[in-house]
Amino acid sequence: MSDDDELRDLLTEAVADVEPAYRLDAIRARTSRPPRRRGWYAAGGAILAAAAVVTAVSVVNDDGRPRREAPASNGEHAVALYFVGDTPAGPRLYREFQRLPRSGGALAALEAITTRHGPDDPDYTSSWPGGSFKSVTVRDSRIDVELDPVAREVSGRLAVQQVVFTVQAATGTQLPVQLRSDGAEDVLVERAPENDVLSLVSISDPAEGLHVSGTFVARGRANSYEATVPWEIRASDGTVVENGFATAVGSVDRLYPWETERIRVSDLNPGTYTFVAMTDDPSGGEGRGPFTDTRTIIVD
Amino acid sequence: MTDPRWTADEALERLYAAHWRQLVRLSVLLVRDLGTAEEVVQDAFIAVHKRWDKLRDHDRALAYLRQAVVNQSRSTLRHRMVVARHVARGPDPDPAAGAEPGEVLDRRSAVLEAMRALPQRQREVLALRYYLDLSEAEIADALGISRGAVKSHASRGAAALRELLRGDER
Repeated sequence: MSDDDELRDLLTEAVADVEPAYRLDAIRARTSRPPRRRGWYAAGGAILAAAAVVTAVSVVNDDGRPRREAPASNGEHAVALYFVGDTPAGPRLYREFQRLPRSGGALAALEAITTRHGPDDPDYTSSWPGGSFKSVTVRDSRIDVELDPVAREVSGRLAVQQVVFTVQAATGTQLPVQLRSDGAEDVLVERAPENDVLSLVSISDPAEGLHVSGTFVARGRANSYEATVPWEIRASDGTVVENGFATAVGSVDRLYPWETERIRVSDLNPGTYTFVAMTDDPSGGEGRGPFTDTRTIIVD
Repeated sequence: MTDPRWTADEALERLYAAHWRQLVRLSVLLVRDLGTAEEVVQDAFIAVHKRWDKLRDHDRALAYLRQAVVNQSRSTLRHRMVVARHVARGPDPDPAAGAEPGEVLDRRSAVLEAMRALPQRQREVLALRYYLDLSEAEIADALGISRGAVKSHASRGAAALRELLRGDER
């Protein structure tokens, strides 16, 4: 080793464990001049997330009062997270929106998919232990995600794609993700085709456990036969008490957004129900059966 | 690599994502204390945001950031010597993290202590040369000194640092 290399190593090592605090918001607070422009990261995923917030708020009582607190400037925003759940094609990723502190950035989104934080929907799981993710750095042509040694036991394409989809949503990019970990070679991972790793239907709204009365609108994404997305409301004994279908704006090559008409629940008895969205199953049950996603809703 | 249509806010966020950590680490090499380093680099980002209309370019902005970090680290140190400011937070890793062999931890703090003992210019040149891998010309530019001066600070600094570390082993 040359003398220069030795000094390089010594200085690099001396600060290798220095993890500065997140200060971007503090900096922004001192640089912003109204009206403020959105940051570059607000494109893509974050805009979808914003739409989901608006939806959550648009659930209103018959008298027009919002049922949920408006997402005012409480420093939180809705973030798209991906979790693993069962489908007729085996385990796949489902998207779930959660409200997280705005200051946490993409790293907070990754921490939220670990078991320490986890999904709101009890049907979903994650195999990433808490503390798995040390840093996220957006570069020009990729996103670097630094893994902690606790993540070493995690393996499998789906777990990796869970990170890729989540961090891409959080950064509003579709850049490939470089997984880095001490003592292991860096791995550069491209986003897999949605049809291969996502549940072919997922619900963005309502959120798990949402209180509804009067009417509500459900939304999500799906890739379903002829873009048809059947939905049902089931009582706790499994009886279907309401049903209908939504039409996604596209199908075949990937998942497309769908949205129901206003669904009326004012005739239902107060209680706990399950909202189910499905892919259409043209085989009539001959095939592997429909993909489904469910949300518990509470009718007041 | 820079999109000329970036606003100052967009540039700030890009630069932050790409360079925040490395610049804080650079400042830690210069001032030792993490809390101070974060303040210094935060101020540098605010300064680069203010000047974005003039800089308009990623590389120029990065050069400006480095320069601001080095200058601000220097004046912070001066200030600190005057007020004998209490160091609230050091870069020393949490001993509870535990996984690191003690030898590495010792070496890290020995290197930081040794850096701190060097004359200021030598410390700056070593940090820019060996941590950021800058060329002599870039260092000369960042510090506003000649390339010859960079060369001599580098060689004296490297020798002094080695000597300090050797002394540390005794």
